[in-house]
Amino acid sequence: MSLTSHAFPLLTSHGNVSLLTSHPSRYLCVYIPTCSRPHPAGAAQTKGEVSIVTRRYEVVYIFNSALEEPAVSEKLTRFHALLGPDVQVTVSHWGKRTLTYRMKRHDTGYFAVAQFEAPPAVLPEFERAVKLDEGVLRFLVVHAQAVTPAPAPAEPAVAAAAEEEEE
Amino acid sequence: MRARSKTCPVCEAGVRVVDYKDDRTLGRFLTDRGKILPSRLSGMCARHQRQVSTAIKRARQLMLLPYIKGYGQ
Repeated sequence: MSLTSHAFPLLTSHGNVSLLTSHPSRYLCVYIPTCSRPHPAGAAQTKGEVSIVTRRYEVVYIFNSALEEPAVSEKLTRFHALLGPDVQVTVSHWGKRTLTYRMKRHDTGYFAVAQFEAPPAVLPEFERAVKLDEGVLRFLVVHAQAVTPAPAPAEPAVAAAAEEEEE
Repeated sequence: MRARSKTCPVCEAGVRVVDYKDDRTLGRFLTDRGKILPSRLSGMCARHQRQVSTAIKRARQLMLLPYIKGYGQ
């Protein structure tokens, strides 16, 4: 999204604020980051209305193992809808795994990993929704430095065996 | 006396970013009680020791690794 390709005349001085005369009757003041040098605090890009900074995030969810895959997928789509309309989310389901320690009387959990690129501003609302959901035992959001492939679910047979023992 | 060659196992494996979800690999850097091995024993370089310890702490939160191995058994 660039305003410089705009057909209207652009009066840019040295500053970042330029005056756009889109209408003869109206003046528009738009913030345009003209300086290519990054702001010392890194805020120049995020403050601008022109460019929206996105970051790559990775979320690991641990759901209650009583939930099945359709129920988990339904919850995930509900959570990811909060991130915005044009956010591409890659989800990989690990399935049920045994937990290494008991947590709130749960021995197993349903693991799912999601990766997406989103602006940082949408995260608080998203995290709040996940936190309030009773089906989520625990979750972790990290800023992904590199794209790491999700490892295949380790020992799914163990989790299945533990399930049978419980029943 | 021959000096023992100590090279970082993570550098040798050619790993750029340590994955906190890979509990089997991270489990190699734990003591039998689940503590993080010091770099003097693990032989890791400072950068990877830092990355691995952060990854182990994340994996513990996600219940992929234990805080204390054998607790309550």
